[in-house]
Amino acid sequence: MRRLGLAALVMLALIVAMHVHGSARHSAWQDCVDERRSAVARVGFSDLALSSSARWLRAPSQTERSAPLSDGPIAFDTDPAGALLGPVEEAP
Amino acid sequence: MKRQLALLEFALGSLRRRRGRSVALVAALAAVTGLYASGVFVVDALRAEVASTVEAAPSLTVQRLVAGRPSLIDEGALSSLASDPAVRSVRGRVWGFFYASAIEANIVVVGGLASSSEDAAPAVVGHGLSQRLALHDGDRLALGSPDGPVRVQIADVRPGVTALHDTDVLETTPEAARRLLGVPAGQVVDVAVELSREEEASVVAERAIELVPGARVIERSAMVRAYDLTFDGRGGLLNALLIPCLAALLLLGWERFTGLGPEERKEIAVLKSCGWHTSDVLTCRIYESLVIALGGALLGLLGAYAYVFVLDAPGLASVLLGWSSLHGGLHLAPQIDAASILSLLALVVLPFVAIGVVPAWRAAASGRTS
Amino acid sequence: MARRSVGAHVVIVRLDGVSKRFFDGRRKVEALRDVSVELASEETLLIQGPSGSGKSTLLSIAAGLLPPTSGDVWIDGRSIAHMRDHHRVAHCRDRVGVVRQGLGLIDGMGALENVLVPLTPTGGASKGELERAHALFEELDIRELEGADVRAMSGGQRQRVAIARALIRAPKALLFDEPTAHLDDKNVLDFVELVEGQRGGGRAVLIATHDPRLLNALSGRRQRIVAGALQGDGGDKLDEEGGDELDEEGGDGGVP
Repeated sequence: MRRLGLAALVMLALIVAMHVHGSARHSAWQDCVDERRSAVARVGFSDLALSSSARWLRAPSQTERSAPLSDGPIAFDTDPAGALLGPVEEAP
Repeated sequence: MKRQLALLEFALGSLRRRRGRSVALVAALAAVTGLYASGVFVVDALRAEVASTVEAAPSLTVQRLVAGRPSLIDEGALSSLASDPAVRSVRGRVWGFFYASAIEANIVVVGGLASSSEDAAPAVVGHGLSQRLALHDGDRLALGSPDGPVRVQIADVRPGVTALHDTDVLETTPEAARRLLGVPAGQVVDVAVELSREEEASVVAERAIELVPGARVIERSAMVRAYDLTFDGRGGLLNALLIPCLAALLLLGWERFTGLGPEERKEIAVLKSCGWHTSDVLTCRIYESLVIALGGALLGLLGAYAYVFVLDAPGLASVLLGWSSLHGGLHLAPQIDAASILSLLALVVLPFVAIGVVPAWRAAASGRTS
Repeated sequence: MARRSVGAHVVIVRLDGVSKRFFDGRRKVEALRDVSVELASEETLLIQGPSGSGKSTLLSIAAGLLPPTSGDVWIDGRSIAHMRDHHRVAHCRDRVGVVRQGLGLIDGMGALENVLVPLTPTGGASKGELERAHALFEELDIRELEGADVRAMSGGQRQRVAIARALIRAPKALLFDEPTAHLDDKNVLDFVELVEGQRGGGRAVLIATHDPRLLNALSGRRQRIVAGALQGDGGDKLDEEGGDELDEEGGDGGVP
């Protein structure tokens, strides 16, 4: 029972540490929101710089409608024919 | 309370007596929970990143489509929109992707700086690009274009905090950008429209389509949705890979509990003959399952947090976000709240406790006392 | 109902026309047929019969661990046949201690821990109960084994631990199911001495056995059970014929 109590205490301490670290990091992130917004304004679109291996992956919101990854998420490759589901219908 | 503590202590003793299996189950649960939670943490952080900055993107982006693909627009095509009271500004943009063969990566070239008559156009580069090419303030760069080399001089390097948005961006003058991208004078890639009244977006969009027949108007909300879809898909794919792991784990747990080996059946019979009621046996069993499930799930969560936000998710980052020679690590901010932690825990703990209790109940209620 | 007395002794356990039927998945098995028996304080009752004759079932019902299919069971003056599970278990565990065949000790646990297991559902051992446990270990001459893992003990030692566990709640009756199955002759004699001591201390003792060594060494009332039915007094000592009968019978087909 003592060992469980000890393990629970250690776990609690780690959770508290996680919370403190997370809060600090989240605050720092929020403090920089203006700087990030100005970066978005300069670049002109909000898509994140996550892959530059093919143009449509860098700017999914800007790409042609037929490109799979902007409207057809269940596509395993970049060939539109490779999609398992068709594009989502846009609401009128 | 005393009774519950006594039963809990007995449950812990049971787990200690089957130390090997208990540890294996905790480890397996921690691994599966950790992987799943890592995916959730990364996707939630990225979504929050977009959501926190999308307001800075243009209210409307107008593209002209030719053969279903974005094409160039005449620079003045939408200038009459500026007179609309709901419109604050109309700005033609020159931007695009430039393939830098030296680093085998696409650079996003944006012609957003003020024009300059210098021999080498000023340029502001993103963090990743500056690292990849070892660029500092004052450095000069020559980039190949159809019309010959375009020279730029680094005026500034963007900080790491904005890397997720502009790590691969080279911002320069519109003239230099046109030469690099091959966009002729008098034409732009798209038009950014800022609205003073967002609720007029659809009306302004219709006007834009009248002015540029066949135009595609991307509203700000569509940008966020496109992003969500991308990450729902990729995140979903990762979770789909975890399903076999979860299934294997539940099977292992099921085998452990239903198999109720002869030792465990014997123990239940012994307890019944010592005056334990079925409910006492079940309570013990629930405690055993709870300790394992909670222990494994919490370890997994803590591990996932450390993996994503302390170590920047090596390995997983490439899977979810695509590989690029330009991108350093992820530096995400946690977007975790109590509700998401509790739902993650419930996802693991509840089924595990359920599969632990059912076979024990069957054994205890069978009436066997030897 | 007022407690019955037999002579100067109080009836602790009484089975009245008890039958028990099981369904083993394929057919109905009648483990006990219309069994009536009494066990009074300071009395030793030996139920003799071959494997599968229903001894263990009778024991389980007498201990309140199983409800009968029909008939009535009285433990310490209260009918338990129609009690709800929870009440039956609670009523019987304070009054009847059981030592099963195989002893039912939990391997990997210490001797003292095993002895205290019956107390867990009621909140664990109180100070007084812990002292009683120590006293039992002393009385049963296994004081030095309190902290030892039961796996490391001999058959005789394990049996003493099992007896201590059955006695931890100071029950009025002690029931044994084949207690000498794996004991050597010396340990059988030790066991007999122990039983006599318990009876002398006022406890009712019921032993289900077909071990002739025990039947010859112990004095007490005997009854024979065959195919689930009691067959009346078997006499004080096992005669030669009875012994051969016992040795030749043995089959199964019954239920635990």
